[in-house]
Amino acid sequence: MNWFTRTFHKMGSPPFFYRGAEIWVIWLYIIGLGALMIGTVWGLGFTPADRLQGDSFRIIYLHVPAAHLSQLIYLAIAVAGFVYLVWRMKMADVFMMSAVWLGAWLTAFALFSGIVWGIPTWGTGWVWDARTTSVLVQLFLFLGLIVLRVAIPNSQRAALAVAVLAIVGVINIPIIKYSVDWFTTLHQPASIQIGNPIGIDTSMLWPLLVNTIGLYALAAGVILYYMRIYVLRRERGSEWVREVVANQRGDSA
Amino acid sequence: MNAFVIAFNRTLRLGWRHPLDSLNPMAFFIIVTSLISLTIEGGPAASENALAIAVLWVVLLLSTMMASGSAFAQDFEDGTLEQMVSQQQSLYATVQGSVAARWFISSFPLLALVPLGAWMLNLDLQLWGILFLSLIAGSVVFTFFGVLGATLTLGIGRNGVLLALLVLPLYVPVLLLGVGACQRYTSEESFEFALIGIFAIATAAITFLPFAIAALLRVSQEY
Repeated sequence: MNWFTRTFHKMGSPPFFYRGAEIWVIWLYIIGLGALMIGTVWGLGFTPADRLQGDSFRIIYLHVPAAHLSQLIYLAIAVAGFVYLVWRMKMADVFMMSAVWLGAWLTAFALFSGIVWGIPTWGTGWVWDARTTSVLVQLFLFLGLIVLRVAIPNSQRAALAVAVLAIVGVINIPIIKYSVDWFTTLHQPASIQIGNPIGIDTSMLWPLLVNTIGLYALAAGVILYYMRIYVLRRERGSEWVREVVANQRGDSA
Repeated sequence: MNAFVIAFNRTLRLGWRHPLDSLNPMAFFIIVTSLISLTIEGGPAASENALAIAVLWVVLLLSTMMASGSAFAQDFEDGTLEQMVSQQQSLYATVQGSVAARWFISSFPLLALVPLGAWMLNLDLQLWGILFLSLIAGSVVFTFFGVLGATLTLGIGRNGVLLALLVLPLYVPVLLLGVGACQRYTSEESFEFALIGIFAIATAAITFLPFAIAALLRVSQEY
C-alpha cells in the first residue's frame, strides 16, 4: 500500500479523522479568513472601477467565489453519496451531513448577491432565465437534502436516501454551468475559462483569485469543523468517543 | 351556539392542528405560478404559441408528478414490496417493468390528449410535431423521477409538499430543456441540441434510475 491509499483508508476511520482534523481546522480558518480579508479590501479599495459598470462590479469578489464554490460543494456531496452507496463509508455520510448547510447558505448568498448586482446593471433583480432558475433549483436541492434527512426517522435509511437524491440531482449542474452558453440569458458568460484568453484585467483578477482561495479554505475549515461534531454524534456509542469525552472533562476540571 | 359557529370553530381548530392543510395549497400555488413564469419567454408580451407550449408542458409535469407520487405505496403497505425485494429475480428489472407500466397507465393517455390541448390553446399546426416529440421524452423522465420521489418518501406518510420539494428541482432542468427546444424551433434557431438533451436524459433515466429505486426499495424493507 502506498502513502496515498494508506492515508485514504485512515481518513475513513472516525477516531483517526477526529484527532487528525483538529489542526487542519485551525489552519484552514486562519488561511481562509486572512485571504478573504486581504482579497476583499484589495478588491473593494484598490482596484480600478469598471468602464461600463462603475463600482457595482466589485460585488464580483464575493458573488463569483460563492456561486462557484456552492456548485463544487454540491458535486462533492454527490461524490460522497456515491462513495457511501458503494462502500458504505461512514465518513462519506458525515461529510454529506456537514456540507449541505454550507452549500445551501452559499447558494442563497450567490442568489442574493446576484440580485443586488442585477438591480444597477440589468435594471432588474430577478429574471426567470436558465441561469438564475437553475441556481434557485440548486438551492431547493440542498433544502430537499436537508429536509429528507430530517423526515426519515431511521438514520441508515436517511443516509441512503440523501445519497441517492444527491446523485440524481447532479443533472442540474451542467444546466447551471452551460446555461449562459446554451440559452439566451441576461447573465454574462464566464470571464475566466480554461483554454480561453482571460476576459478580465489582471488588476481585477488577482483579488478575485485571493478571495476564491480564501473562501475555499474557509469552507473546508467549516466543513471539517462540523464533520468533527457529527462524527462524535454518530459514533456516540463507541469506546473512543467515551475516551475523548473523558479527556475533555479531565482538562476542564 | 348555533350550528354554524360550532362547525366553524371545529373546522378552524382542525385546520390549525394540521398546518399542512393550508400549506399544501399555498405551496401548490407558488409552485405552479413560478413554473409557468419560468417557462414563458418574453413575459406578459409572450406570443400565444409560447403560452400554449408553456401551459401544456407545466400541466403534463404536474399531472405526471401527482400520478407517480403514489408509486409502491400500496405495495409497501400490503407486503407486496417485501415479496418483490426477496424474490429471486432481478429487482432492477422488476422496478423497470413496473415504472414502464405506470408510464403506460398515466402518461400515455395524457399524451393522447396533447393534440386536444394544443387545439384548445390555438397552437400553430407546425409546432405540434416538436411539442409532441419533446413531451414524449419529458413524460418518461417525469414518471421516473416521480417514482424516485415516491420511493424516497415511502412510509413517511402522505406528504405532498415534501414530495414536491424533492421532485420539482429534478423536473425543472428537463422542463427548461424541453420548453427551450420548442421555443427555439418556433424562432427557427437550432433546437436539435435541446431535443437530443432531453432524449439523452430520458435514456439515462430508464437505464440508471431503476438501480437507485431498487436500492431505496431494498433499504425500506431492511430498516
